[in-house]
Amino acid sequence: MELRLDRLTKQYKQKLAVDRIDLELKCGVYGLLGANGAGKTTLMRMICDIQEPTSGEIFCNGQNIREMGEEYRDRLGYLPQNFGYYPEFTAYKFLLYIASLKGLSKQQASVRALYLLDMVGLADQKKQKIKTFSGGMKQRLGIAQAMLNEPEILVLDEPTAGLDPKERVRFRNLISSFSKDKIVLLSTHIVSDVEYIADEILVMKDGRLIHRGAPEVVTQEAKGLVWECKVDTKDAERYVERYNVGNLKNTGDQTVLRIISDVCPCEGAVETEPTLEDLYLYYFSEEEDRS
Amino acid sequence: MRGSLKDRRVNETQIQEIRSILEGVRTPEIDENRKQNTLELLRMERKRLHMRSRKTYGRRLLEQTAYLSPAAWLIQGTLVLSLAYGFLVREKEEMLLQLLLCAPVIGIVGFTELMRSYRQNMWELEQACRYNLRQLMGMRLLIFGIADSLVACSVAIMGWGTGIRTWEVLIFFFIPQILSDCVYLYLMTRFRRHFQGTALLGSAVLMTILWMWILQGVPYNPKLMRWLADPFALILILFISTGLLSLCCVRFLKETETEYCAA
Repeated sequence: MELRLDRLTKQYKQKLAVDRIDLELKCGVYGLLGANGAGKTTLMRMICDIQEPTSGEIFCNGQNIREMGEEYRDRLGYLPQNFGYYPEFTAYKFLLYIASLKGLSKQQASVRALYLLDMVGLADQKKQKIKTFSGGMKQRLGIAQAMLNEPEILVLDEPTAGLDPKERVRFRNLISSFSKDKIVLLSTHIVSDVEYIADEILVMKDGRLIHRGAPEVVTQEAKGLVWECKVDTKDAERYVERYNVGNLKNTGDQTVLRIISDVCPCEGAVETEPTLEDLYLYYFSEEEDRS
Repeated sequence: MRGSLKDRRVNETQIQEIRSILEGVRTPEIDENRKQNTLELLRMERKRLHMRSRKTYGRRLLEQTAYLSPAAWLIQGTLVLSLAYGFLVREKEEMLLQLLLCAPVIGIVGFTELMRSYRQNMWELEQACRYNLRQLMGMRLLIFGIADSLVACSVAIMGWGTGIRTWEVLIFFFIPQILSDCVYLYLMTRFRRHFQGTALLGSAVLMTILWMWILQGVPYNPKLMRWLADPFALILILFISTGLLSLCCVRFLKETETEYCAA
């Protein structure tokens, strides 16, 4: 399975959301990192054939996805960022409904729905109406519906939003077991979610792909930029205003700061091994502040 | 008894023989290349067969009917019952005006269902499915088109018993309904997901007022009634109305495929 994006561009009236992205995706898990407004959702919508690109094309195994139409969508599973539902539907009925749109027979739909409800931990709530679900439960249901048709391409936009740590670990394990011989593309702000399971990280900024590589390789971009230092608690505020602080730990009179900076922030600061979160903060802290 | 014991010993002997033969047999070693070729062929065949067989359109329609809101059918049923009651108690001219009042309203029931995908923010999920949003909208239009036609037929049948002729049902109910639907479709195509709820209801009220204004005097005007009863005039009006409705449906479905999620 191969997905190729060829100079993919999406221009809205005043904004260039996706800017000439060239990308080849083969089987594996891809983590798409970027600040709000980087173009992740627009990119994912184009891959899912929901939005037409302004220019450029997407090919699946050498065929243009627009020409493939139903055949392409049959291989696709998608979880949008703002996931809607019909409130009067129960979890089971909702999955049957989506299964009918995905072309599954009634029998297949029933079997898959029950299996996936069990897998995402909603088997006991299958007859409950979705409007009674918590945010995390709705999200798990969304993940289940994306996997109904055993897709070869799974696109998940912020799939772990609203999940507690235990659910996030369960989700990571689910994706890891699912991803063999499949393309999984997931976007998230929770860096740790992709750090552990992604084979490759794609870093997106202002509509462009600025980095791609294995997590440990991409993380090295931040080498030499991450510092740890101990400062007086009364001075900590000043450092927070002046530098990009990734972590702040108060230990009484002193505060331990983790600072992302091109230059050594203070005397006694020790250069430390970067994490993916440090890289994210290095690239996107300004965008996050703006948003 | 002795015979069966002897048979059992023979069978056991045969089983032992077969067992010893099988123990001496070794499965042949599979050449690695051949094994990989076979696996590759299996993968290709699996990919070729991945696309599920197409369900018939009729089957898909029936399936979708089950997922429509029961409230929509309840409201339509209530309106039909109110018309049935009206046929029993009202005078002919009053009944024709009641038909005129109900015609635009029956139409919006279907449209609220049509816009459900946007109202509940399901459009993105549905668009990414094999049978995408355009096909889903088409099915919903067809389902409610059939339902509305059945309602019109029921009204015509009820009218026969009370002296209201079929052409009168066409002029005072069916055609206003069709033309109101054209207006709703146009507005939905133009304003997309912003046209729902209050806007839809407001349009229905305006259409009702408009039809009342145009046609309210007609039942009391014998000359105009005679003109409208002319088969040629009827056929022409029906032809233009259904043509317009088809055009609006096609345009609406075509626009459903273009993007509706501007930044």
